[in-house]
Amino acid sequence: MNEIIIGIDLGTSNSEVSVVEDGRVTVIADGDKKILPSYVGIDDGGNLIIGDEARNQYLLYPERTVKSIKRLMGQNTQVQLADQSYSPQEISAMILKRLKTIAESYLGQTVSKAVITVPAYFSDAQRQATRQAGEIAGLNVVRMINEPTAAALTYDANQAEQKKLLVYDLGGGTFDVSVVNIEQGVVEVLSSHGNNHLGGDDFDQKIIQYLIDYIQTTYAVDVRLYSKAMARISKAAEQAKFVLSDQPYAQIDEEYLLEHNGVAIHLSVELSRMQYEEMIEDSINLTMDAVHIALKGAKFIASDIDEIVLVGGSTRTPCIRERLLNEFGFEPHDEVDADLCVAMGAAIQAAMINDQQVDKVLVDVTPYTYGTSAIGLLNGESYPFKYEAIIHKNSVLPSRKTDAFVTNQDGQEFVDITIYQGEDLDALNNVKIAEFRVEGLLDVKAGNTILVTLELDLNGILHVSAQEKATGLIKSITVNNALSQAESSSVKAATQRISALFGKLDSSLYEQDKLNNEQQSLHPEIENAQQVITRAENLLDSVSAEDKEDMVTLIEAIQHCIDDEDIVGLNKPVTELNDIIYYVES
Amino acid sequence: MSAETEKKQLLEQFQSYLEQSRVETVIANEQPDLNTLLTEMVELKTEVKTEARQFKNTLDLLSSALETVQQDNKTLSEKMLEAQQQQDEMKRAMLLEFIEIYDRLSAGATLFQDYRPVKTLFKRSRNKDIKVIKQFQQGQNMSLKRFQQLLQSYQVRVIDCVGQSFDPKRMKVVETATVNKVENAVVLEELLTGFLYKDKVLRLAEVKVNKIY
Repeated sequence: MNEIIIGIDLGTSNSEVSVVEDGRVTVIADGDKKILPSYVGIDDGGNLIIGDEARNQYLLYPERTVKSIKRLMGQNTQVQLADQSYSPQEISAMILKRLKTIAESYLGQTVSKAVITVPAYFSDAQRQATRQAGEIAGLNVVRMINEPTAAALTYDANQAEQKKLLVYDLGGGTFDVSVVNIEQGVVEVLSSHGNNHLGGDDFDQKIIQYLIDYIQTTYAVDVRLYSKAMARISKAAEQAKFVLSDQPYAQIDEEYLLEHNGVAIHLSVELSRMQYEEMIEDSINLTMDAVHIALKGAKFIASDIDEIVLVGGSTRTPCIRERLLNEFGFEPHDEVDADLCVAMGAAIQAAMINDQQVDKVLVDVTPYTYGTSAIGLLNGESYPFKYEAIIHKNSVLPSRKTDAFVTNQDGQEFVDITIYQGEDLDALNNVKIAEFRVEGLLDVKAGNTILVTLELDLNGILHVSAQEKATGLIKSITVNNALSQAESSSVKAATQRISALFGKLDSSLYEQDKLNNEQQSLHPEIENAQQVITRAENLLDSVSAEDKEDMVTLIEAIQHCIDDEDIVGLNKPVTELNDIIYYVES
Repeated sequence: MSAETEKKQLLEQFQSYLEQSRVETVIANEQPDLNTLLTEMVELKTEVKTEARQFKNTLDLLSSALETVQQDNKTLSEKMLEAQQQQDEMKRAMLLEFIEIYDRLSAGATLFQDYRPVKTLFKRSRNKDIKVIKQFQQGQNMSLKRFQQLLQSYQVRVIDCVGQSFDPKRMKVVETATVNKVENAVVLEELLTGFLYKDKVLRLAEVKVNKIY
């Protein structure tokens, strides 16, 4: 039994440790925190503190706290820590030693071997310093791998065919992009570029500045003079940034923010995703420039890249995905946690060195795209049923996304929301899975904003809600088995195809065909009745015996009416069945 | 004499009968039907074997059932642990949301405390207005108190920090100031309230600390 080797991501701002057990990768948590801030300090009692505690005291005791030591690795310099001098390697060793202890307490045994990740652009001196740091910490660094390599491994540990990957790593304070070639589990970095002082923290600052300017303009107050208010604004800015990753508008409300001339000032402002994207546009452009330089360095063009891997929490910003989609023509990978994938990759490499079996990293993702239809451009022409995707295929579950739409007529009183499952840009070619109407909209000009939110959980339950932004009027609907909706109809279609091939037309399928044909004729009542039957059937398993009996009787009655094309007779049983469904679902 | 002879004769007859029948039975016993015996023996053996096999099958069935039950037990207890952890996480997330509301309620209550009615030579606040504001203030304080009690009932406590020595485990320095009258590293102002949940930090307090050197 080979000795365990752990994987370590030693980052500028944060570090993590992970290990592969029974083929599965686990990022090891210290208590409930998987991420250790890369801060080292000495406390009042002269004890060494590492991580959150050191970070908390940094502003007060900068002379005995060290941060971002990674920027100094490989340099022949020393840092001060409470009247003592240390080399960067020694500081890094303290962080590594802490990670080692965390791993040992989780595994219940001593650990002496590790794989540590380093940036692709690290020089020999910097790598040597990292190896030394490991030794000082009591770790035999069996291998050092590049960070983009580690990220690539989490997606394709056992990749047989050759693939060219672009790894886009945008963290809190640094940006790195690398072009990587992966084949038979061997990863080679072809080129890399980056910006050492560009990251998500800059995005926060942009929003904070926007709020400061807003308060100045609106209330003629310089909020920077009020510490408490600034603390709240900093928090609110970060939260707004997170919200804008999932929703098109973020409402920033800080009531009683401060007191000016004896009067309370409340901050209430809405930040749209468009405004935010404008603020960070320059930063994003810088990253795309770096991407082009990296491509050039590898002598590739965009179409040479097979896949894109996103690393770092800041890559959750939607406009980054859109820019990459525009440039490369396909969606980047972000299924594996962007904050942890480098550490996981290090553990996978460690397991590979140990000849351990590594399973593909399993992530619960949705296999389908879900969205709604709206009037838009299809092939350059206006089309009333353009598909607008809201939750994209391969999104990690649970997922909750909102998109904004507008009414297109003056005084539009209602809007029909139809939810589809599929990838076709023509919504009508996708599978319709839900439909409802929101009535009672404001009597205003066209352009009334309607927010449609889709929330899909691990059990395949899809919550759809539509809200009139101006008034908060909201209507929602729940679809069970959203993940398997298409399956039942595609199984039916497949059965039909195969039966046709065998020349055997099953009599039941023949009837089904007849029914399908009838649906296409002008009998919306029948279509509606069919839908009601489907919904009722879905609920059959979860209702009481009496309800089940009633429902089955009604379903049979409806089916008879459909077969006899008795539209008038349909009405009563359909209404009754709808009532039962309504009571059962509420 | 004839009676005795008769008796003797009868006895002799009887004896010879007995001996004969005994011999017959002995003969019958000494020459058993080997074929039948063998068949019966084989049948007996087969029956024993079948029974033994049945026993073994039953034992195997029972032991595999036991294994399944033990596995299920293990899975269930793992699931229960997971569920408990999930529940704890959800509770923490919900408590964090509560705290956001608490922030705002207490910010409002604090600002109200600074209210002073206008009392200058030519301008005075109307008595009615003063009363309205005071009543509102009282109402807000009552709501705030209720909220504090709610948090307490969930074992959430405020981190006491103003005037205390800075503790990096529970507080985060976001600003420093220099106040010579006060000792170094004493918390001057609480910029964001910190909370403990069951003695673990739920949210760090953000503080302004005195930095002299």
